[in-house]
Amino acid sequence: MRKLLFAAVLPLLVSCGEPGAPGPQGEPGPAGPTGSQGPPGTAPLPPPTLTGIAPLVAYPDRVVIVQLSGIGTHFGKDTTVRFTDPALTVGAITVGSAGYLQAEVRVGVDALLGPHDLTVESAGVDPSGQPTGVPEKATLRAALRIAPSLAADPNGTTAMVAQGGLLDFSLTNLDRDNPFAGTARLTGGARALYLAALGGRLAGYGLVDALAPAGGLALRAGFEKNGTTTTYLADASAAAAPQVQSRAAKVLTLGTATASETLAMTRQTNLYKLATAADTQVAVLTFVTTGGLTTNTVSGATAPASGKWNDGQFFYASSNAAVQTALAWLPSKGDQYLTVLAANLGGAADYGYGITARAATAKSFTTKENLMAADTPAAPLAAVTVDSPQRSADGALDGPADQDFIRFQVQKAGRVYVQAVAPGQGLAAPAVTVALMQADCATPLAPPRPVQQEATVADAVSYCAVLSSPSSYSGPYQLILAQDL
Amino acid sequence: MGRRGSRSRRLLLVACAAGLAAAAGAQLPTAVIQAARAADPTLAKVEARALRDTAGGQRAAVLIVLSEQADLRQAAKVKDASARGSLVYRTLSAVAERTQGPVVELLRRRALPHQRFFVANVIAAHVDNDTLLALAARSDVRAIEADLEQPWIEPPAIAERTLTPTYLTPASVEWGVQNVNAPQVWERGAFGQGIVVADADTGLQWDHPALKARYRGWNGSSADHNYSWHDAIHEGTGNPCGVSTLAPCDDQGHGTHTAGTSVGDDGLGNRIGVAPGARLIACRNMDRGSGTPARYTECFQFFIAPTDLQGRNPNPDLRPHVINNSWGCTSGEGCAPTTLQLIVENTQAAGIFVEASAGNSGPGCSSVNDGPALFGAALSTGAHDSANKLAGFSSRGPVTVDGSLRLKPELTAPGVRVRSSLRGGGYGQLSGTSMAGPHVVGVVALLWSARPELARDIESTKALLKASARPDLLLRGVETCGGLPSDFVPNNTFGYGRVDALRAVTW
Repeated sequence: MRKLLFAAVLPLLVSCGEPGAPGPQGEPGPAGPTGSQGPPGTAPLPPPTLTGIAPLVAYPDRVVIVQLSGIGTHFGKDTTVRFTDPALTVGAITVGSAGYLQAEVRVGVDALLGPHDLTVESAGVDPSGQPTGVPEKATLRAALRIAPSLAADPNGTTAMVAQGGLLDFSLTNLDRDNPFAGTARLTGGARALYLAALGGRLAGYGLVDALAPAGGLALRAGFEKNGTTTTYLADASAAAAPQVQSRAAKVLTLGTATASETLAMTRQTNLYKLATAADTQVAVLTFVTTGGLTTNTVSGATAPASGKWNDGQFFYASSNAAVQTALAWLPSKGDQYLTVLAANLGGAADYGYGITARAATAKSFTTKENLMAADTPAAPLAAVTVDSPQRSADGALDGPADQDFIRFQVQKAGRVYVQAVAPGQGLAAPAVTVALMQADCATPLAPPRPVQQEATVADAVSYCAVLSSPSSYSGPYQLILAQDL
Repeated sequence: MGRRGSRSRRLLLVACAAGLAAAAGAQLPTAVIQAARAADPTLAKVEARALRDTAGGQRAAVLIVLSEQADLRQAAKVKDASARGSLVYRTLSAVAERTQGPVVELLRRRALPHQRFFVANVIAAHVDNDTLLALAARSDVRAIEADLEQPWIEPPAIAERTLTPTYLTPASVEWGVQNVNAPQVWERGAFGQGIVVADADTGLQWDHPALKARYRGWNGSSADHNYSWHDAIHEGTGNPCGVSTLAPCDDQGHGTHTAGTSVGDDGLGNRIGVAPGARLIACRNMDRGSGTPARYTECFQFFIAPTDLQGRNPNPDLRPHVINNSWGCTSGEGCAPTTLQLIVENTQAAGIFVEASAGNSGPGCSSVNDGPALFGAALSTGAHDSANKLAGFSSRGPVTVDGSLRLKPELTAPGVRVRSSLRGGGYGQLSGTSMAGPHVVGVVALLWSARPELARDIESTKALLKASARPDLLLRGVETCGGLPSDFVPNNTFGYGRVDALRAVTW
């Protein structure tokens, strides 16, 4: 204001000679009008940033609802959420606001353990809120940690075990939101022979797969309830994880005896490999036992080329006092694995045996029950001639007190072996026992025995196998009848 | 009417036959009794032995089981331990009080000696044949069982006692205590503290150096045996302890040994007990190794609600947590199995763990024939040695004596050459499932001490002990009992396996 006054009087001073002294400063003028509103601010938008996630931890084979929050994000109907691990897939997304959403994340059973980055993409918008056509992308590093749901207890878990060997395990459930429930089974790395599940602990012993990679063993357990299986798994790199040691399987040749085998130490197993040239074979495994093994039972499991005992079957030999015999189903040609142990888990220098494996193509028959007319001794489920190994895969005990009757004949006098094995059977309470009877299915020939029974039979005479459960099991079984090959 | 008339005639037949037999100075033939019992449901209530023993005009000791028994199902839902014990005691007492009057009146009128119990609704009495038949005819009487004295503990051939000189200081914890992995639980700070163990046996030398500090009646400077000791031996001569003793006494030595295995430790290196931090109470139910149903009934009753030395002022708050029963009454005549089963179930309802030795009748199958081991409510224990070999004498299942085919035993524990406290102050080895059972009792004490949330939860504890057992027993060859080869677990040879305190505590 003062400068404007001075400018106004300056021309007068030029035209009127010497300038006089400056007059006194005038009073300030009135305030001018309010200036017009400036243009909108143009401060830059913050970059879209994911600021939070809950929960921080998830377990394999689970579906978890993840809550995400962000700053500078524009979550909307087109927003996507993804992980780099394809085992982590995202389902329904519910957007609460531009900075909050919920996403259903399915963590696959094979998800990598450890932290996982998470990326959210939304439609980009410009400062005026208009779509830019360029996606807005935000990544949260190590957003979700996939953790093992089982922890091995070093006090109850074998530290070192050979391939195909016997493993003690004691596993704790770390997933408190999913307590153990249902029927337990080891589903990865080993096949359980005996399991005890109570509260948050699963313990027992089993057989490590024949081809389990050397190093830490990734144990898995499945709990089946109402047709749904929930998997729990341990971290193979954990300090208490059992360490698998490589072991070469001894090669067996079909039809050739391998003598002088021993189970010299308690809990010892012997690992074998044999090859079959055709599919759908039944192997007859003959064990000529000596010493302490004559009064104990040879047991074990077979596995196909995968080397996984869960892909094969458990066996528990029957005996005629001098020789023990076990049957095994070998569905696909190629390499087969076999592990042998004393069923009492014992062993000693005099636990000796020789082993011969023979195989023949199996015929198939049905033991499916007619729900409208239960089988009886007079009307058995099936009548079959054991002119070669016979196998049925559709039989089942339909209730805790169910008995299945199968009538059979043989074409050559001698021993007949009948095996009924339920899925997951091991050395825990037997699911199915086999009794052999005369043709009337009532007169005893050989008493009930878990898994497999045998007897001497005459040719062209009918006999009867009676299957039942001493443990109130109801469920499927595989049935094989065979004679010496 | 017709049926009643017929029954009366049969009762009359037995009575007449009894009179004739008495006149002839002879007992009724068994066949006559069996025929009469088979024909008449009233007589079927009476154990044949009782009929036989009274047929000659004598009186016989019996247990009269009343028809109405307490329904204790609600007790399991009571979480508060004190309230649960009180509820069970009050319910049992009330049922007995309400229902026993008429039978007691009948016995009084006939001046027959009797003793009322509430632990099960039973009355012990000495009755004649006429009274027996009168009782049998009553609808408020469910059964009448013979109350006979029988040997209940290991024969000497199995016990094979060997005295160890007391001046030999053992080098380490006893093998059995180590075998159940008790020391590893001690390292975690659990010694059984807060848990009371009861021993029903031949008595107790309470001042044995390994037991004195463990005995609940000893406060460190003086003894008060009220609520910590009861003697159920009230008659007989020649007993070195006397009868109805007011202080613990062991007339045979068995009880002092079994108690030592549960809790014993003299602090000087004799580490014989699994749970040396637990407290001990005891009841003598055997006269030098022989017991009667009335005696076991009295001891169980004392444990459900311990009393002062006069048998008064019962206090269920002082009941033990776990009872060791290293004795077995062979099912059959004289053991009152109906009564014993009721008692074991009622005791369990009070939150008391009933452990029972499986018996020493192996290796034959179905040799678990003794109560209380044969009952489902009792956890029965077989025996193994220091090499984890199952003892040949250890009884096997399944239970056939009651037709249940129940799997037994549930567990095994060290029971061969077990070194523990001996009457007189020394130490020595004994063998038998009597020695195995106290190991399990000690493990329960350790478990409940380490995990108080499980205390008095019988079913959960049983499940845990089974799940955590080690099924690695050694046998000479595979045994098959009840169709279950011993390779499969559980089985009727060793149940679920060896008891393991560490696995149970850390499960």
